[in-house]
Amino acid sequence: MKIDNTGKHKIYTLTRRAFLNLSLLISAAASSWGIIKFLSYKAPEERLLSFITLNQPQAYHLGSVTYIREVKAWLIHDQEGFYALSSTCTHLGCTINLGEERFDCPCHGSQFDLAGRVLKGPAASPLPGYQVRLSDDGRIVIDRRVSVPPSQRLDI
Amino acid sequence: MKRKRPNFYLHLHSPKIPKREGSFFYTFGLGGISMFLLLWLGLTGLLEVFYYIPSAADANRSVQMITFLIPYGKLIRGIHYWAGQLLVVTTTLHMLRVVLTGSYKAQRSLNWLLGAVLLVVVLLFNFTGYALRWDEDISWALLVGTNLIKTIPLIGDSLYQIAVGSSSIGEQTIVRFYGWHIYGFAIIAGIFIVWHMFRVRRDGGISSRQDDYPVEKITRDELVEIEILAMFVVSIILIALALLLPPSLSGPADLNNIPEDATAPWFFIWVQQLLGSGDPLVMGVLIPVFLLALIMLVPFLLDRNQSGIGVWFNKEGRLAQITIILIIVSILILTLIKVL
Repeated sequence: MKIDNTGKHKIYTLTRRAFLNLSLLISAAASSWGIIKFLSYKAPEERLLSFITLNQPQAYHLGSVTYIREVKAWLIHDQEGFYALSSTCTHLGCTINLGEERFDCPCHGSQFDLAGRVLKGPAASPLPGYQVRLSDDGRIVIDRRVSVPPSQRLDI
Repeated sequence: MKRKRPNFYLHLHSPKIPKREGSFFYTFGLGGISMFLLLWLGLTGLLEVFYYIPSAADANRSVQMITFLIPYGKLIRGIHYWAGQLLVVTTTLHMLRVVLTGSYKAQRSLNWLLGAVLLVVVLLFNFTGYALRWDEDISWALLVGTNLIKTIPLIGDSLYQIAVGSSSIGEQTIVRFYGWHIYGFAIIAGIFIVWHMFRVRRDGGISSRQDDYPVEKITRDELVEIEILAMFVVSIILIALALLLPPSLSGPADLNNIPEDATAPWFFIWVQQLLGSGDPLVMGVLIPVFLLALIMLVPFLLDRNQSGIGVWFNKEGRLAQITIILIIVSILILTLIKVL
């Protein structure tokens, strides 16, 4: 920046050095953008099954709590019927383990009751429930695409 | 008489070193030992690269092969593992020594920052290396560590995408971790180590007291003798640890399984303990970042005095010393609570 003889007008001059520095800066920004885009490509993920057809309801006796690994869900059969809960802890995503009449997270100690409600933190929200229905040939289906409240049972 | 040209290794040292600060009981050789461990890591890591397969299906199998089939594979993997673990310890103690002797002050503050960056790189190296084992024991730490990224507001999801390479942990993740571990972090570490060493020489060599003059000095040959002895001792310790306490290895990671129990790698157990007691963003991201910022700000905020360099527990640096000791002690306590 220079001030001319009269001292009234400011004349901005772009020196060669400033121009080159500016070009460098712009190309650095442009390349960073490209690199971030390059790194952010979403490769096709190895998905869990969106639903699974299991055995006949009789295979899961009253009071049973069964882990279905293909859909990462617990299938529970109580007095009122069947329901399924996500087995993924709502805190940081560890798979919860079956404890005594409750679920325990091995990572940070969250506890959930069999209806998915938080008994003990750090988890803040309950386990989501998945739809349980019967297939045409009368077998149990767990569908992760349909969220239902755990209070909703498949009564057989 | 024509003087003999010093060899390159001698050349890396100042010709004369102050006797007091050149002694083992000033530095405990911690910086040098860390460098030597890195040399071991580079060498054994290069050997492991010849057999390791960075894919979800084959990674664990290839580590099993290195460990159980390939001649000396168990030793090489054991040395790589133990050098990595010891590096966390030696670099942390090196930082502690630098704080307690006021060696971060005045013009050395830039080198303090470079050291802090290197500490972060060491932890990233260790975490990615741990994950590359791809066995059941690492899967939950990997899941939690990456899910933590998602809790960061605004940029969390993009960062997760860049770190993991997909919308969940899988094939892409292992390739990315492998790339960072053997290439990305190696380049960053290389640049910062050379810079770190260069700054030590540029800032006048080992930090030393400025109040007594003339200073009694030793030649670099004497220091190099101690260094070579330390290299032997460290190598013997590494080989002994690798043979007597080999690193664990379980079956292939499968995130659909239910873990019996899930423990973070030992240097992050304190974070796991924190995470058990509150909001993931605060406990898992903000507190560690705050502690790192506090460490980095030592010469700029906690102790801006020019005096006290080279003096153990110097008065001027009390606040800095207490802060760093408190950070290390809290981390130790959190770790012990979780382990015991």
